[in-house]
Amino acid sequence: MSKSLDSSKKAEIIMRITEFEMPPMQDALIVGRKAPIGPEAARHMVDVLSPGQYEIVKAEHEAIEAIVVRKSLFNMLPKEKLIALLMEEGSKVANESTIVKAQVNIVLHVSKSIDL
Amino acid sequence: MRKAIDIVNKDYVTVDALWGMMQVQEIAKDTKTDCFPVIKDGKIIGVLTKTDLIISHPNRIVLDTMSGSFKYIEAEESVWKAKELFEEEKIEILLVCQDEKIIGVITKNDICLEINKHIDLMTGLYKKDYIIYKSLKLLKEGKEIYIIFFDVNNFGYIDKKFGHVVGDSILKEISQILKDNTPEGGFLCRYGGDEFVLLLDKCADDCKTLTREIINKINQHEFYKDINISISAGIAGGKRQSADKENLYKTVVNLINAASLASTKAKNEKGNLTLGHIGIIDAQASMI
Repeated sequence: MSKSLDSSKKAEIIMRITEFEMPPMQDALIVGRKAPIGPEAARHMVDVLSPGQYEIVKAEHEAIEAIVVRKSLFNMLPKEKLIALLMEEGSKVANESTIVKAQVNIVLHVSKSIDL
Repeated sequence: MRKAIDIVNKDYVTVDALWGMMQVQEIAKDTKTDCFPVIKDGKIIGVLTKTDLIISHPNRIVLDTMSGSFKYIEAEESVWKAKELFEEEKIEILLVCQDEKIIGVITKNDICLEINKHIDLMTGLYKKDYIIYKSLKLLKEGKEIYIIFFDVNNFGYIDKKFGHVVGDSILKEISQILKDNTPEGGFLCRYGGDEFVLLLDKCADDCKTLTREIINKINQHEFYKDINISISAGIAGGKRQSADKENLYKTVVNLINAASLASTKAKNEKGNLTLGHIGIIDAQASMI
């Protein structure tokens, strides 16, 4: 059997550089009951990077343990309405072993008429 | 009476709230521990249970996993108080305190092992420590208590004539009759060989009526091999006038003694029921 005398190895490098997301989660995390990271761990993680900006809301749901939400969202939308919305939509995609992140953009439409 | 300090585990292992579960599972394996108090900022904030160790994801931190709760107990409290706390508060661990410091823990497993030592294997009834604890508890609550001491007549003769196996069978039947006739709020124990104690917080007349009923039921019961069995009883009890909680233990043991002597008198006089000391029981503390 012949052996090749001029073999060589090459490495191909593909680099993808993006800006680091601060914190590395968006507006909300939907944490499953058996997810590898629990809500307290998630809050500690973001508390180190963005102290005091996130809140844990425990859920009464068979698969979802809690939602970690950016507190500033509650300035624009009542807490119970936002949580209900996140639970409704989140429960369609999340299961007990997943952690799903959600980006929530709230646009308020205001229309007023004033006396001239 | 056995106290929390007698069964406290002083070499308990705590885990930090931010430790990973994989690390804790290793500690559990090495130390053969399955229940850990959880520490955060130097304070115990919760309990990691055996179930938590089994079902949690190994990547999770303790804070996200712990599901158990705890309560405090003074080192001088009785093991029966510890048992009640486990049952009533649905906790996994008791933290034992002495001079306002935590000196150790008692787990559910520890209390089960201890309480099992106070159960009479033949009849399934508790032994005398149970009645002493319950009597002390009722007296501390300011209640009236009555000790009814039952003693089987001629039991030594029955053992000798029919054998100890037959004797044991009769004691089981008697204990069942006593169990069936113990009213709600009453407490029963096997005090010794053929002696049983019933503790009631009812009035003296109710206790006498119930005791006579029990004596009659035993007289009428068809025992193994149709052996004729009868039982004698002595009653002692009443209420304390003093609000002070000193010498309660002495009061209780002296009441038991008075009831025991009354049952012996009943047996000797073939009257089946004799009253010992009935009324104000404060002076019982200085009897022996």
